Amino acid sequence: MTLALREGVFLAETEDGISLLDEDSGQYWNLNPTAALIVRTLLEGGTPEQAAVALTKEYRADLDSASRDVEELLEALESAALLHHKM
Amino acid sequence: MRTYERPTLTLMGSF
Repeated sequence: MTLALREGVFLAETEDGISLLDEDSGQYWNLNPTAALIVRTLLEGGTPEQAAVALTKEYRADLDSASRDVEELLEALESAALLHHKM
Repeated sequence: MRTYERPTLTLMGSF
C-alpha cells in the first residue's frame, strides 16, 4: 500500500517547502520543510517509519518525536482529503 | 544538522 495525491491535487516545490493546490475544493495549502520531506518520502513509496528516519537524518529530532509527527501530519493530510491510500 | 521544526500543513487560502 502506498500513498498518492488525490486526483485533482497538484504539488509544487517552493522555497518554503511544498504547496498543494486542490482544484476541486479551490483551496491551496503549504507544507513547511519538515512536512515537505515527509510527503516527498511517502509519495516516493516510503513508509511512515522511513519518513521518520529521514527526519532524524536531516534534523535534530529523536525518532519517537519524528514518528509521532509523521502520524499527525498523515492524519491532517487525510482529513483535508489531499492524500489517499493507493492499493 | 538543521534545527527541527514540527511538520505543519497550513491552509493558505482559496482560488
